Amino acid sequence: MPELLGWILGGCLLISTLCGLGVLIKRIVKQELRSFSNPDDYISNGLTTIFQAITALFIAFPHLPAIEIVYFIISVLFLVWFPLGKTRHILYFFFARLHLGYFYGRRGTWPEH
Amino acid sequence: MKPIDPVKREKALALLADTSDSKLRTHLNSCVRCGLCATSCMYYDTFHEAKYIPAVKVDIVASIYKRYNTFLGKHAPKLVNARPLNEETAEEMVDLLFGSCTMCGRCVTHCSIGVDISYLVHKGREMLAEMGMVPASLQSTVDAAVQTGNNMAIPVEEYTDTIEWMEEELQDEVEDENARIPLDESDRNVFYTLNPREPKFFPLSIKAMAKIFYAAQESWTLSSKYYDVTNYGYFNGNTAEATLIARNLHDEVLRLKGKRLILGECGHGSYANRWEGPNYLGHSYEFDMITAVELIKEYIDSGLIRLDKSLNSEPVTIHDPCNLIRNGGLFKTLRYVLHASCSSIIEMDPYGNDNHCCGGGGGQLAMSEYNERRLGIGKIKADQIRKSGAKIVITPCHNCVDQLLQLNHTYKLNVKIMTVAEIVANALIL
Repeated sequence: MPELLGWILGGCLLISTLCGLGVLIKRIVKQELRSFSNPDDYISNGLTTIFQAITALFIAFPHLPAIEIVYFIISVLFLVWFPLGKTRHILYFFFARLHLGYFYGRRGTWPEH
Repeated sequence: MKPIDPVKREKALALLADTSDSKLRTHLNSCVRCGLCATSCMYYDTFHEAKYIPAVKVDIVASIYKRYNTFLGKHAPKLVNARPLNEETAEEMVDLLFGSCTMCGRCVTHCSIGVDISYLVHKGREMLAEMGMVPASLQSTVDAAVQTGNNMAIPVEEYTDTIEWMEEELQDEVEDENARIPLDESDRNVFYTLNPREPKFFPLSIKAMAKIFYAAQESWTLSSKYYDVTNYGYFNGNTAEATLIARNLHDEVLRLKGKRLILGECGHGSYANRWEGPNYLGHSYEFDMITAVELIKEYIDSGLIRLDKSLNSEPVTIHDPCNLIRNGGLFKTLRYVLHASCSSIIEMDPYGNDNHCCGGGGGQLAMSEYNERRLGIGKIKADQIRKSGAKIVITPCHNCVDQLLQLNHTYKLNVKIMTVAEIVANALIL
């Protein structure tokens, strides 16, 4: 991978890792959000955040000891959980927007006319 | 609470197992429970309880879906909060989906994923309808429509008397003995519909629309049997009843050979006929179908009616019915008509596609069980109206009119509530 592209990708992943961490902390701290959260919320959020962090780390420091095997394990866990937990919204998101766009577009709500 | 009939329970669960419904599958699998929808909801904003967060309403339907249709839901339900459909869950569903949601869709437009929360609430209501758990007062409204042709069970004689009375009033007002409110006439350009609240409580709005038709020299008619634009079958979740009500109106237009079905001033009625009607009946309608607001805009555009907005000089504000504006796309059309009819319009904040519901949507006005809640959430709208400083509130929905009248009384707003037809009729140059 070209070095510049690696740094850009790593930077983006770092930002999304921080966002994921922020969302996780918010869920833990806010009583109201916690009240309707379930284990899947924490697992999905945690796994996705770790997966992004380890990917960024692997891009930046590919020669760290045992990084490959850790990256492999995290990736497997993430991909196994993907269709089982709420992580699958990553895929469903696009279809949700499609249905939403069709609903409001057909009625002329978006864009306004 | 009485036990759920196992056969009905299976029918309810079958609604979530439908793999052919891509929209349903998508939205059931999309919510991430981020909670960003919380402050979109009038119930949450008023009562500040987590159970009113729209994501919680989605979750109760999604949790049942997961329990019976996903791997983890079947084998490790606690991990994903998958819940069985039992008496306890069903009772909670009634409270959340019937008693705590106006299906206004404001949360939908604010959702970062785009989950159609109203659609899932409606699906949950369908499940409850299958199990015979629709709140009694809402069901009686639907029963009245199914049995008598209108949701207030107005006898034909009483209705026709009211129409004749309004015809006389119209003749006096326009000083023309030939001015008419036609009933059951065939081959008319316009087949007009009413919210039964009009003949029952607000007959002057019928006269107002008749005056507009008179000014436009329109060829139109009302039916004496199926004139009801509402369809509470949409709200109680019973698709068979919703279909029957929609079909009655559709078939009546065909019987009288109406060229255009004009949906009277009713938000959900317009939504249920225009957007859901063809789905209920399984085919497109054979005739044109638009709302009264769009028809009035046509009249203004084509010069069929002329308006003098100085005749409505008091400051007015507009309440946007969710089913006509956010869920109906009439934001600019409504503004066009009202700016042509009134000289001083003050918008509420927020307004248009981001408006707050009046609090009476989703069948709330028909569910006396939740009156206290309904008037409680209505305070948001009442505060908006008060803040606008307007003396008149205009809304093209009789359901909203009813709720706004109650808010006017409860919160002592001292404003006048009018429909679009009434304000336009007031500005007509004859």
